[in-house]
Amino acid sequence: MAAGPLKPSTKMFLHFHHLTKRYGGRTVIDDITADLDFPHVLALLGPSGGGKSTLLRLIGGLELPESGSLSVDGANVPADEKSLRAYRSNIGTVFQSWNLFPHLDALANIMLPLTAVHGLTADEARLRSEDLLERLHLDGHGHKRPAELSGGQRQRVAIARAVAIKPRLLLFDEPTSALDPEMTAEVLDVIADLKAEGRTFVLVTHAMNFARTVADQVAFLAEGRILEHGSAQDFFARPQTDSARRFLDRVLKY
Amino acid sequence: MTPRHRAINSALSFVLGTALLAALCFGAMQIFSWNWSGVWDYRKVFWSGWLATIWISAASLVLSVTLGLLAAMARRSPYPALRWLSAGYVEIVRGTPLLVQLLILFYVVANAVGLQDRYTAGVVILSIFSGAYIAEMIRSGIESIGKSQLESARAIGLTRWQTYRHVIFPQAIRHILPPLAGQAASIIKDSSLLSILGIEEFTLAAQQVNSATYSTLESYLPLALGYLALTLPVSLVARRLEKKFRYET
Repeated sequence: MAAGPLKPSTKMFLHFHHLTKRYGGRTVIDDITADLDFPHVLALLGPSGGGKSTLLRLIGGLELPESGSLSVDGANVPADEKSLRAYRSNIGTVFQSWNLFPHLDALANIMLPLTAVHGLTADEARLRSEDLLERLHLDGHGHKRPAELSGGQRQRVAIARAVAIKPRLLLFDEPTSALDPEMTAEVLDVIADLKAEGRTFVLVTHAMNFARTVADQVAFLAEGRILEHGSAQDFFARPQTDSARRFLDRVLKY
Repeated sequence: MTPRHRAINSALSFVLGTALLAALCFGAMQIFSWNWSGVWDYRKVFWSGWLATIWISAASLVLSVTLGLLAAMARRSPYPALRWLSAGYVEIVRGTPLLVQLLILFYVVANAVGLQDRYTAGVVILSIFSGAYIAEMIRSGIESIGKSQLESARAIGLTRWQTYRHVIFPQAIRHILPPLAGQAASIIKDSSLLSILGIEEFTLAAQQVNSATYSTLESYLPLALGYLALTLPVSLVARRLEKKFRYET
């Protein structure tokens, strides 16, 4: 089934069917079959190397599984490059290392996908981008290149770029891991605002308290499998599996 | 060192250097019996030769950048045949002397194809030679773009061509420009080898003047100066362009 632009709906459904991903000899996603639905925020938690980032990339159409399939909001994630490109253009991604283009200023970075992929005119794109910069407290910084911005500012520009295309789904892969505590807070504030606005996103993070505050659903991944998933409240209060319990003990210790 | 010290330093070095050069020239003047007047009679020959060299170099630069671009893109193509063709072209051309290529491509290939015009043949052969080096410069410039950026371009839905246009080339330019300028200077100097084929460029002109006047040094010194007059500005332009494209990442 071909994937078109994702339809607006009140809940986000993710369905994995015997999903497997290997890198070289290593199985990173190990035959995952699961149904996840959430109103706004799904947090993917778990130990490093457990497969969270890979799963996120599969959801985002940035990797193809070895076998199995996954569907987002009822539509299968396509396998051919052309449909994948169309699919990706409706998903906003923010990775850990800011990957803004260093030769473009902040404004141009946000405008590029709008004009090159989504067919907006330069004026429309500029209007939307400037509005976003203002809402993310970056007005005045639009003409700076990424190298002239702080880490927190760069991530906020990256978020602006992801949000500007009005995606159905946002994917955050450890957006604050490379930031110091102050900048972490300013970025997390923005993400909390996004939730308040009603946006839908999947979040991979080590900021556990933030995940506890903002997530609706949690999926706990370890060794390529979803060991448990359910409401965030339940997960943090009463983790079902030993793995999860140990993980939470370690992570919430300090 | 303060700016003032640096300025005094440069001024002193310049004066000293010029004085040394002047002393050398003066000394040389006294030792040899120069025959500048004889060579001066042939100034038109020098002039048209110099112009020919400029033409040939400019044409070769344009053609070799085009060739180099095509070869670099072919090297990164998803089709293996294109990749091998490009790799073969680059390795063979870079592994053989320009002189050998001139001899083979002119006396064998051009003859077989029926290409009579020496100028065109010379420009084409020089461009094929230079193109291989430029292909490598472009390729390494492209590959210097971090993978995370290509990822980012993918993630926002850019096509291959869009990625090249918006992400790769604008950044690759600043890596490619300095060696490219060096290559431009090389083309100017390598064009001197075209004299082998009887193409009436600068070096051949100097050789003709020499055989007419038997004033060897007076024929070949202007030759060297003439090439310097072309390569020095190229270096200056290169440096300025380098500065213009410099920014932090």
